Amino acid sequence: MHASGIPRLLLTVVGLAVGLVGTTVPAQAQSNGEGTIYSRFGVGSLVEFSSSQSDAMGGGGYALRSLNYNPDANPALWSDQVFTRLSGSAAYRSITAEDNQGNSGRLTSGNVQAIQFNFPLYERSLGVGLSFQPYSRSNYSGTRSGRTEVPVNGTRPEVPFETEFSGSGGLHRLRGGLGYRVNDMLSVGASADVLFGVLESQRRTTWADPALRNVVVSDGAQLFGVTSTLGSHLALADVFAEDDAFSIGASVTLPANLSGERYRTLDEDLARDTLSTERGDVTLPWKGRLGLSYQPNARWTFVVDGAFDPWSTFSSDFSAGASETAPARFPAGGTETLADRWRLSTGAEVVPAGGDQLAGYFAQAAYRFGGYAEQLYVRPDQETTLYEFAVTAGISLPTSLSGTRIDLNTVAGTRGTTTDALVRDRFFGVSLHVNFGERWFQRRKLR
Amino acid sequence: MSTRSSWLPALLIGGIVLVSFTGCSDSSDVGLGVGSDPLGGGDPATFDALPTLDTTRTAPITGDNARDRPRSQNAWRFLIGVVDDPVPGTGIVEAEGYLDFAGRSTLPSEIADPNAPDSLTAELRLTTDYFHGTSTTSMEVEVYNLTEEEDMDSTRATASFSADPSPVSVEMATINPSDSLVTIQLQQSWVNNNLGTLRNTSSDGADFEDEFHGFKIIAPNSEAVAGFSSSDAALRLRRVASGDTVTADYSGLKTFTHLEQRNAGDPPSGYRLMQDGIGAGLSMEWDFSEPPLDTLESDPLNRAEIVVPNDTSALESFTPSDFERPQPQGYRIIATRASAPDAPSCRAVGAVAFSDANEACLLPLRPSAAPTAALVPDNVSRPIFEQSFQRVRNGQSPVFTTFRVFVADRENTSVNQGATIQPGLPTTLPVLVPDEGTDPKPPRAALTVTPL
Repeated sequence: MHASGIPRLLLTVVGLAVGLVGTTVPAQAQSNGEGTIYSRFGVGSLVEFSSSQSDAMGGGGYALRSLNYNPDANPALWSDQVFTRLSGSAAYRSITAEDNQGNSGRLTSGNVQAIQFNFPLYERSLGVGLSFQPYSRSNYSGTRSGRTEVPVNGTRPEVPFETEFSGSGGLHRLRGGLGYRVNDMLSVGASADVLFGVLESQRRTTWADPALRNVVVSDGAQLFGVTSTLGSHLALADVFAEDDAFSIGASVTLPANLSGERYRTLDEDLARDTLSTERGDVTLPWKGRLGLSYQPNARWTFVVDGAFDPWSTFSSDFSAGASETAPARFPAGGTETLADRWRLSTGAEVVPAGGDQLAGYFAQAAYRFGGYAEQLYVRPDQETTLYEFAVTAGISLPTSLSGTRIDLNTVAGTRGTTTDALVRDRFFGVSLHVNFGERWFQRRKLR
Repeated sequence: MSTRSSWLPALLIGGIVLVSFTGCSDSSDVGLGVGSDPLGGGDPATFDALPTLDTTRTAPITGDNARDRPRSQNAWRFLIGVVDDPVPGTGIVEAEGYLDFAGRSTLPSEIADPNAPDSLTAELRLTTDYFHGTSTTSMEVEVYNLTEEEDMDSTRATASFSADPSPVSVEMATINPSDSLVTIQLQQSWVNNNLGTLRNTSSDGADFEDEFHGFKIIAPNSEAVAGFSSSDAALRLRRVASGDTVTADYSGLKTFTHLEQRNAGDPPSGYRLMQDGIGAGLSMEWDFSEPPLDTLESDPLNRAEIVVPNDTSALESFTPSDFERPQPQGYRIIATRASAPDAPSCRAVGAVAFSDANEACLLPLRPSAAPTAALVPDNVSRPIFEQSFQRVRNGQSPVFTTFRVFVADRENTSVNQGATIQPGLPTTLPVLVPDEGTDPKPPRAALTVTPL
């Protein structure tokens, strides 16, 4: 065991955890997230984050193997580990939504993207991966203003009020699993995924006159379930050129049955009054992931990835709200608003120094860019298929600690359309990723 | 290690800064209409829940004893006279005043001197504080001796006390109610016959109070009812000796007004009549199984007010130029609790228990709403309806079954929440409550709700 390495990383782990968790709590409480109205539908906006490397390369990276990162999307990639690694990410995103009338609204938010912890049981052979990250987020906000006559001391003045509709919460995914390198070419992996969380939509009617009681009506769904993910990775060398590397990665997440409770409440905090509850189950679809990675040399890496989730098979036995006190329909608009989702992404990474450890600092940095196209899994009007397009970029800065990198990523894109009373989101985001890596459990060799 | 020490805090701070960019938004209505199930609702609306109206009659308390009067109640009055208010349905209201005095522990020597009885006179001195009727006429009054000591305190207006058949006031005694102070001269024979009593100061005046039972004062042929301050009423003894006038006042102790109504008819079409003095009030009942209350039982209440309007314009239209009718200065609403044992207490809805059995609650009213309305403010109305809705949802009865409304003149009393639970000063005032129409609207509970 490396005697001095453990305290350093432990300090780092504790510091990062305190920092991120400490900021996560208020951030969640303030309804952070991506801020799109489309997160109202389904189980919220799906969040996929595998590693900061793949995040800057279009967001796939299912076959992207690296000693500096432990991608989360494919458990087979956990097999090839040397360092004990902790990764944390925080992101800021700004969204401007526009409708066909030219009206627009803007929402900015910050959130923790993921916390990942990985370590090798047997170096480059058997590794363990643990991660905690959002599976989906519901976050939207819209306000409508109005005036109405209100009895005040026997008169009926018109009093202004505001009705704010907002969504918060989401599902979280706690993943833990193993990756095993069968041989130089084939790795396999499996994980158990625990999904849990609360999706809540809120309608808050507030008055300019403090004498009038504000009303908060909340509809929520509290869900819990377990699923698993199986992954494989095939690594080939000298495929198209000498010393090149070509990888194929695939993973399948099994359908998840989530049990839970829907509820409708009145007011908030200590005064919250439950109007009604209903138990039920929902079934999330299976997920398929397939990726290709090609490294012609030590400087360049290219990836192409695809994902498919048949959300049209989503099912829910929660009943439609039949009375005023019954919770609102879940998912919003019914299962007819869900459609199969696919996603195609591609990206590249260049490290100007290649394998030259003596090159300049910025030559040893990694520069990444990519893009993706996605057919969203929600179809709010049950007719119009929605797409999301974005470009990504990032820079990965090496540190004095071998195996530790600091990444700064950015994304810009568009989502949806302004036709048929829908809205188009234009979004921009930056994220900061810290990947700590140190050797633990290393046997000292006699010299 | 030192290098990392410098960038680790920077990273943490950077991450915190990113995450702290939360919820900064210029929220708009963009996107609210997205989808087949767009976001909506939450628009508050105001409903008028009209109660079933009926008349009710409870004779008001018109008796008072200054020694037993609550501290918060600094005034009382008694009425005399006859008024025939032109408002249809009011009939002819006749008021008889009763007045008793506190004894004295001392008297000026000139008055106490038993050797000069013929030079002693007596008069009633009354301070006018109310007038209802034809203003151009003076009133001929008669004063009678009560035959027995009566307990006037908390006595209701339907009671009456026996008096001697012959008046003790001088013949054709008249007063002009437009004067702030009126006097009624008593017969010299009455003074002479009661000299012993009038000069009895023993037991700090208690013996005087035992021997003297008080007066009944009437004005049977008048065209107005006048009211006089109980506290300022006095029986004055006067002696003129050697050119000097010496007086001694017996101050008012107990007062009472007996009120009777004759020839009452129907109120004007479209109105219910409340009339103070005779205790004619309005009873209201809300049916929670009928619209709109049956549709609102689950909706959160933003605001609620119970309003019982007084159409002062209509009253004015029934007022000749020479007729004076003051406006009522306050009202009383007494709510009867549901008989169910688990019905919330009066205090639970911000009301005050009115009866020992806690069956009736006095609802605090907004004093400034008078005279145009009796108004139960939001802080009382909302708990009443919120808890009633909750009980109805659970298959129980509403908090209150009946609300009874009466006139309660608050003149000369402090205007505060506590004062509204005190009985009002006696009056003979009518109130016209519309039972249909839009301006003013009939009695109602105005409820602002945000539909779920």
